[in-house]
Amino acid sequence: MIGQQTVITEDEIIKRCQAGDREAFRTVVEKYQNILYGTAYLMTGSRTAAEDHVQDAFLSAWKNISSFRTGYPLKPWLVRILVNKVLSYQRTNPNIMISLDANLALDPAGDDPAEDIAQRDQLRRVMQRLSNEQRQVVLLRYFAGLSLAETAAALGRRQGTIKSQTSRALEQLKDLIEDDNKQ
Amino acid sequence: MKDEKNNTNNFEQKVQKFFQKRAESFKAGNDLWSKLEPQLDEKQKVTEPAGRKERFWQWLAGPRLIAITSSVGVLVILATVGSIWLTNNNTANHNTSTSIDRAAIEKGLGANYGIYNTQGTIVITNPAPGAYPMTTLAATTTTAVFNATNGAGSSYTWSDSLANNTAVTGKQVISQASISLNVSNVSTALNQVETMAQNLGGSVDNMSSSGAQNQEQANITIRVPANQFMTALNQLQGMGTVENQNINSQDVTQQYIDLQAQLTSAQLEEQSLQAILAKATTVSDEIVIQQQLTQVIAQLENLQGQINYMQNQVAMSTITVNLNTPQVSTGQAPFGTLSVAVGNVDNTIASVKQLISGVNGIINSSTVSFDNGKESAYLSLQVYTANFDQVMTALGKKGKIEQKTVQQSLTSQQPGTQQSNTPPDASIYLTLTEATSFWTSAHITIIAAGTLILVVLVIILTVAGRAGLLRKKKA
Repeated sequence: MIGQQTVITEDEIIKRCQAGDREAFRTVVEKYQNILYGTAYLMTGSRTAAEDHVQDAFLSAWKNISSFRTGYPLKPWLVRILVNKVLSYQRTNPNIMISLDANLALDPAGDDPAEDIAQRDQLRRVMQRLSNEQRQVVLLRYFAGLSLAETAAALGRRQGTIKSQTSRALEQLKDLIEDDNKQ
Repeated sequence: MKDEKNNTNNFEQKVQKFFQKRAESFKAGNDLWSKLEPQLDEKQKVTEPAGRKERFWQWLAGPRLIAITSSVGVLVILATVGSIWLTNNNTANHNTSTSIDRAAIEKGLGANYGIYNTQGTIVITNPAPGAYPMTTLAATTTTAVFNATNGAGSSYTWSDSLANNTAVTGKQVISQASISLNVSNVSTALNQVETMAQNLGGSVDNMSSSGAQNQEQANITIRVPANQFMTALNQLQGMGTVENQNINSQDVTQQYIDLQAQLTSAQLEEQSLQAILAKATTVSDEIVIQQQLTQVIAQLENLQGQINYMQNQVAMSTITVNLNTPQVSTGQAPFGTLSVAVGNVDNTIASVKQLISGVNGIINSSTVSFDNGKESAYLSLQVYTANFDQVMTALGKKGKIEQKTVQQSLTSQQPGTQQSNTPPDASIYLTLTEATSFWTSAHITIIAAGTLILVVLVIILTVAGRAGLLRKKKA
C-alpha cells in the first residue's frame, strides 16, 4: 500500500514537472542527486567531473521530462541518462583515465565524517578488483539498485551479457565482501 | 545444486547490502539545485520539439507498429487476391479484361452493347440509339472505337474520325460443310454439282477425280453465297446417297471486331504519322518516321488481308463434296475434332505442320486469332485414313486435351494401306488454345511487390528499433 502511494506521488511529481513546475523538479533533484552523484563519482573518480555529469544529466532530464511515460520508475531513467553522459564523455575523452584507486580513499568533499571515508575505502578495494565493464555493471545493479533489464538498457548491452558479467564480478568479490560482512 | 543457488542468492544480498550502505556516504554538494535552476529555462524551450518527436516514436513503437505493419501486409495481399478474383470473374462473365473501366462505359451506353477489348482498344457494338454519352457519335454508327490506354477510372473520349468505321451489324458466321455421296456416275454428278454452284451464284474452288471406271471417285469444293448454303446442301443430298455429312458453323464475330479495331488503330496511327511526317524538318526525323510508317502500313495491309479473307469466308460458304461410286466405297472416312490447350500456340502450329507433312497430309486452313490477349488457332487437316489414329494421338500429345471426338467406320481402311493416288480423306479439326494460367505475370508481380514492401518495412523497423528510434531516447 505504502509502495503504491509512493509511485502515485512520484507520478504526480513527474506530471507537474511535465507541466513545467520547477519546484516539483527540485524534489526530484533532491531525491536522486546523491545516488547519481555516487554513481558518477565511482565511474569517473573525480568529484568535479561527477558534479558536472550529474548537473548535465538533470538538465537533460528536465528538457526531456515531457517524453517520460508516467507509471514507470524515474530512477532507472535518470541513471540511464547519467550513464550515457559519462560514457559518451569517456568515449570522446579517452585520455582521462579513471583514477579510482588514488582518489576514492580520500575525502572527496573534504568535510565528510571519518566513518564515510572508511566505507569508501572498502568500496575502493572492491572496485579495484573489477574490470571496467564489471565495475559499471556492479555499480548500476548494486549501488544504484537497478534491475537486470534496467542495467542492460542503461549500458546498451544484452541482458545475458549483464547477467554473466554480474556473476563473474560476484565471483571476484566473494572473499572481500564475505570478510567485510564479518567485520 | 539447490544449496549452491541459495548461496549465490545470499551472497548477492550481501553485495547489495554492502553497496547500499556505502551509497549513503556519497553526498552531492548542497548547491546543486542553485547551480541547476538558472539553466532550466533556456534549455526546456529549445528541446520541446524533440520531445514531441520522441513521443510520436514511442506511440508508434511496440504493438501499434506490429499492427500497422501487418495491416499493410494483409491489405496488399487482400488487394492482390481481390484483383485476381475480379479479373477471373470478369473474364468468365464478359470475356473482357478488367483493365478497362467497364462500368463507366456501360453507364453511358444503355443495354444493347457489346464490349471487346483488344490490346488497349475497346470496340462497342450496337449501342442503343440515343444512349451515347457524346453527341459527336452519329446515331447510325454501330461501332465506335476509343482508346482505353488511360486505364481504369479515366474518362474516355469518343473519336469522331471513327464514326465512319465499318459497321458490324450482325453475327459473322463462317459456314462450312462436307458431304460424301454415293452416286451411280461420278462424272455426271461432278457436272451436276458444278452447274448447281453456278446457278446459286457460287463457283467451283477445286475439283479432282481419280480411279478407273466403276471405281471412280472425285472431290469438288464449291463456294456458294452464305444465304444459299442450306439450299445447296439440300440439292446435293438429292444427287445420291449421303454417306457422311458434316456441317460446321463458326462464329467469328469477335475475331472480326477485334480485327476491325486493330485496323482502326493502325489507320489512326498512320494518319498521325503522316501528319508528323509533314511537319518533320530534318532528314533523320523523316527517316525515322518513314520507317515507322512503313511498319504501320505493312500492319494495315496484313489486317486488311485478314479482314478480307474473313469477309470472303463469311460471305461465301464452302462445301466440300466427295463423290464415290457405291462399289468402291471404302466406308466412311474417319473424322475427328480435337481441342488442345498448349503452352505456345505458334510453336505447336509449326510442329503440327511438320507432323502433317510427314504423313503426306494436307492443312486445309489455319486460322490464328487473339481473344482477350490469348492466342488460339483453328486448323482443318486432312490425313490418310491409315494415319488417322496415329495423327490424332500425336496431336493429343501436344498439350492438354480439352475435347475430342472421333467418328470412325468399322469398314475403314486398315492402317498401312495408303493410297497415294487419292487425296487424304480423313478430316481432323484441330483447335489450339493457349493454356490459361491462374497466376498471370501481373499477379505474380503484385504479390512479389507486396512481399518486398513488407520485407523492406520490417527491415526499416528493425533497423530503426536497433538504432533506438523506437525506444525511449537515451538522453
